[in-house]
Amino acid sequence: MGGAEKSVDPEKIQRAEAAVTAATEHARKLPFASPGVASSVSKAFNATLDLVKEHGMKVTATLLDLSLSRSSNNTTTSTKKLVQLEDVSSGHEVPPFVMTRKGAEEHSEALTTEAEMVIARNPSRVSSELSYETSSSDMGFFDRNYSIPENDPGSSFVSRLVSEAELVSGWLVDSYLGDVISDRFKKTPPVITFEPISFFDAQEKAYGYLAVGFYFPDTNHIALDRNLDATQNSIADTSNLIAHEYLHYAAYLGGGTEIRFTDSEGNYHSGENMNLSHEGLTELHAQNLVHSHGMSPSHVSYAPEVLSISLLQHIVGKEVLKEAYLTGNFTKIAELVDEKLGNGTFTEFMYIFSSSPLDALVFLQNYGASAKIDLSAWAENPIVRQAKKDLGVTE
Amino acid sequence: MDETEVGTKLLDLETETQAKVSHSISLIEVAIADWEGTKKKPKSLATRIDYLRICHGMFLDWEKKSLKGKKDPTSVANRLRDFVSICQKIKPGEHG
Repeated sequence: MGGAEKSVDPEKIQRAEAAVTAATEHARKLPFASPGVASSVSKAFNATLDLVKEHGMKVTATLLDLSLSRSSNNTTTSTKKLVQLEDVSSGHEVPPFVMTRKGAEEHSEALTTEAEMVIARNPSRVSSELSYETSSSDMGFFDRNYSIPENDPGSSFVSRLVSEAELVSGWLVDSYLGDVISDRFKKTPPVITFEPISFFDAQEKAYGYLAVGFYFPDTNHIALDRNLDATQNSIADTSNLIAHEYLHYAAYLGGGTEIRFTDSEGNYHSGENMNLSHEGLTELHAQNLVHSHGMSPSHVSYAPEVLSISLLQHIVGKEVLKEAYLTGNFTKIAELVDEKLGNGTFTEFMYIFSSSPLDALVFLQNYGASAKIDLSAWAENPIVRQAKKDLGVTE
Repeated sequence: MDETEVGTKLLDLETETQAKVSHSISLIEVAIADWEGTKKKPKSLATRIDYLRICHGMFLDWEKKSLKGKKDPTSVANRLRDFVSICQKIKPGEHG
């Protein structure tokens, strides 16, 4: 006797989804979901965290919270609100989440899982390489093989990366970072993990982060791609990558991730519209550091931002910009720019930069020319020349 | 509220949370069993099943830790905090 083939009952899926929704609604009402809520339960919880700190225990990495902070792409995370260890304006003496190597490895695994969840929930964002095919064997999303090629040069290359990391760490001596940040950096040194290609692929597909290295805010964890092809990336390039990530961490410790300044009229500026591209600042300083040790990386990341900021550096001086970058305090920068180019120039530059770094470059060039500032040394800077080349700008 | 009252309150919250999680796990298992027992699997439902599998895994892990874990206020509070984090990550429609 024949009969219709059994189909999936969508109502069962709907009921399960409704139960999940009810659980998430329940979670929203819990005291911990709103750190600012002055309930006695959350106060007791925060008091418990204070006790942990008082007794010298490190707050071990709460991986899911860090993943949340990563996905929100915002340094002001819910965990930071819960763990008020440092005044942000003076940087961070110690990151809230100090990781051991094992903790960092677990963190990487959690981030990969989170990214895969995001990909699974947003298939339209994923490239065709991960398109889902149904089959009777029903090979699931997590069954896909993120294998590393058999002839993986990773292990010997990782050894080289480890040596270079030690080399670059030595460059960040007291005189470069200054006493305060240097002490913090030495007290809680960064932990580097070397991740497979699947880690970076997942981050790219889930969030659009195209990178071969990450520094994770509120931690001391840096992740580098262990499958960078050693034949295509010179020591200068990999040293620049390592310096870039180390500097992110140093700037985090120093307060550099929150730009603020008082302009020549006494107005205080801070916040998102004061974005001077932390990536551009970090890349410029990494390039400066590597060049100062006799190496020339083959490309400049964040080239538009680096070009614009390099001109700012030419106007105010390397050391002044470095201090502002590491601490986040741009008041001295504002003073110098306004002194040389006219009141309000720096504020206007910052607003233009937040929309278009290249427009900000043109703005500064024009003002510089009007003020008869010699830009030839800036134009001859090898970093500037490389950035222009990477952008396809002909000399 | 003294420490004992805080502890009791936290345990009550955890018990309530365990009930929500257990109910979700049961319904998810019914949905997944139905999916796996069917040869004809519409592509349009595949992503939803993937999502439910992820929720199932995370809820199950949490439930095990909750049922076996210590009952002191700090441990309970940490587990509830973990649950909030899980739900913020899996909250329907807010990912990406």
